[in-house]
Parts: sequence; C-alpha cells; structure tokens
Amino acid sequence: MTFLFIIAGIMALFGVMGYRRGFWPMFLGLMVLLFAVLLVLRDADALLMYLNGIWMGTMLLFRGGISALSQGNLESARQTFSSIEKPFTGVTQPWAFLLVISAAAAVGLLIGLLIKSHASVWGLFVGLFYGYLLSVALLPVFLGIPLSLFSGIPGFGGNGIATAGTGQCQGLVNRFVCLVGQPGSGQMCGALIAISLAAFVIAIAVSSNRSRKRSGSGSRNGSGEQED
Amino acid sequence: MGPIEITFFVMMAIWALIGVIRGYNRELGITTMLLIALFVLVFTTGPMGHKFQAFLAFVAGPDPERQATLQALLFCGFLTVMVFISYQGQTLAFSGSGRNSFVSMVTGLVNGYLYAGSLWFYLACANWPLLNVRPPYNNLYYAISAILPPAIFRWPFLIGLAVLLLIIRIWK
Repeated sequence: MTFLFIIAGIMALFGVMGYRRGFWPMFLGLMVLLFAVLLVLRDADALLMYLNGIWMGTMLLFRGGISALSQGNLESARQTFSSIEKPFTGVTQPWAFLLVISAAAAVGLLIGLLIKSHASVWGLFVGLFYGYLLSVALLPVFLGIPLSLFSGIPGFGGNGIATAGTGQCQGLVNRFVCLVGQPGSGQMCGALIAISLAAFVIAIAVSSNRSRKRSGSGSRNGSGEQED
Repeated sequence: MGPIEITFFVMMAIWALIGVIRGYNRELGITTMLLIALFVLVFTTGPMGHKFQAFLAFVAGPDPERQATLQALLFCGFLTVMVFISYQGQTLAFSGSGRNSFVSMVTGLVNGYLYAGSLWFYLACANWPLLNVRPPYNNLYYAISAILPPAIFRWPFLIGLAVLLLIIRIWK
C-alpha cells in the first residue's frame, strides 16, 4: 500500500512538473528515459560490461597503468589491471542500472530546459506517465518489491537491492536499513548521494545564472549580496 | 525510530521550511558556505590529522575520550558559527528569483542534511558528549550513520564543488 502511495506521489509530482513545463520538454525527457529503460531491458549484460570497462579503464589511467603500457611494461600494467575490482558485480549490479536510468532522467530533464514551452494539459499527462515509468523502473529495485520492470534480469526481480540475502527487510525503513547495510551497497549509496547532490546544486546554480542573463540585470541590489 | 533520528529529520524539515521561505538562490549561498566549512573539517581530520591530533593532545591531555569531546565541540561550534554567519547580515546569494518552492525546499533539505548530518557525525564520534544518548541504537541509526556527509564526502569533492559553485556565482 505504501508503495502505491509513493508511486502516486511521484506521478503527481511529475504531472505538475509536466503541466508547468509543457508538452515538448516533458515528451523529450520521456523519450530519453524510455530509451534508457529499453537499453537496460534489452541488453543488460552488455551495459554492465561497458560500465565495468569504463570504470576499470579510468582506474587503470589513474593508477599509472597507461604510462606503464606506453613504456612497454606489460607485466606492470597487467598487475595494475588485475588489482582493479569490477564495481558492478553480484549484489551491486542493480546499482549500474540505477545509475543509467537516473542519468537518463537527469539528462532528459536538462535537455528539456532548452526547449521553450508553455503550460499544457498534455504536458500533465506525459508527466504522469513519466512519473509512473520512473517509479516502476526504480522503486522496486530499491525496495525489493516483486513488481520490477526488470524482473527477467539477474540481480533484479523480486529480490531488489534491499532484500537480497535477508528476510527481515519488510517495510520502508527496514528496506532502507538493509539497503545501506549490504556489503558494498553503503559505499555505492554514498557515491550516489554525492553525485546527486553535486548534480542538483550545479543544475540549480546554472539555471539561476541563466535566469540572470535572461533578465539582463544583476541581482536585486546590483552587487549580488543580499541582506537578511 | 530513536530520538536522534527524529531530531535529525525534524532539523531537516526546519531547514526545508527555511528554504521555502528564503528561496533557493539564497539557500545556495548557504550550501556553498557549508561545503567550505565541511571541507575545513574533513581536511583537518584527514591530511592535517597528525597536527590536529597533536593540538588536541596539547589542549585536552592524553585521555582519548577528552580529546574526542574537544574535537566534537570544536567542530560543532565551528559549523554552527559558519551557519550563523551565512544566514546573518550580508549573505552570499545567487542570482535568480528563488520563487520555485519545490526547488527551494529541496535546497533547504540539502542544507539541513549537510548541517544536521555533520553535527550527528561529530557528536557520535565522541559518544554524544553533554547529551543523554546511550546505546543500544537501532538499525536505522546505523544506516543513517553510514551516509552522513563527513562519512561519505572526501575533501577534494567538497572543495571542488564549492569552488565550482563560486565560479558559477561570479560567471557573467
């Protein structure tokens, strides 16, 4: 029941957002999200392989493996490479899909900001569907509810991140506790919080900067400093 | 849910309300100041850890418990002073109208998380000095403890984000 309320809340939120932003920005965001969902559904293994590959390549670069390769020191590069662990395996696999879908949602909504539109009822409907898709794609994964859109993919399905390995993860709070308590998941959760926080504050700061440019004037008293 | 978790959520709710009242453009300035304050604290206990430990030992003596208490009180005092300065008088405000209530609320929540979460972290490290908080704690306590700001943010992230925000703030 709680799950249904959460879905309804998210749908309402995106419905209002869709109404205020208009049809096309929301529709564009929906297409990007749909693309990401289909990508995860159709070729999860390849996606995992690429994400792991990107991570391992980056870590190889930071740990000096590339310079070892360029100097012809293959053994050193191989040792460095073998010391790097794949980030998305086993229990942490769903985090990769979560990352892809969250990134697609963020990119879609940001691209939508570039399109000028006005309030529209069609935007409301698209927003509702957007909220529904996002909810059914992400929440079951987080909360371990057997309604997951990705139930066919190993690591997903009825045993989402929150429930794997334990039978005590009932209720929202307990699911959150289990999610953070899993080995490896706490670190991923921290990374996700850091990325989300950075993306949010940068997006807001950039958008407020853009609104200043649009208005053509500085802040209220001209200097940007405001007195409380 | 224990008293600490409730206090944490109430503080976040208060900050969300403050965010809605003040607007996100002003709250972003507080976020920047909090990130800088957190950077100072994380850097002090990280790369400057040895020198800071020596300072604590010099002031509080050899007892580790007294050192932890002094550290918690210093850090919480520093954070509170920074927050007070950020809100009082001439504030670092970003441009924009700040009229979007939802964005303002979320920005306020972020500030609440940064401030209340940091207080929790440093007080918990010293076993809650001056407060009657004792184990056993519930699972939610441990779960939230794992995602508090000083537990998950490294100092390069904090200073990088703060500098980026300041650059965006002054970018014409």
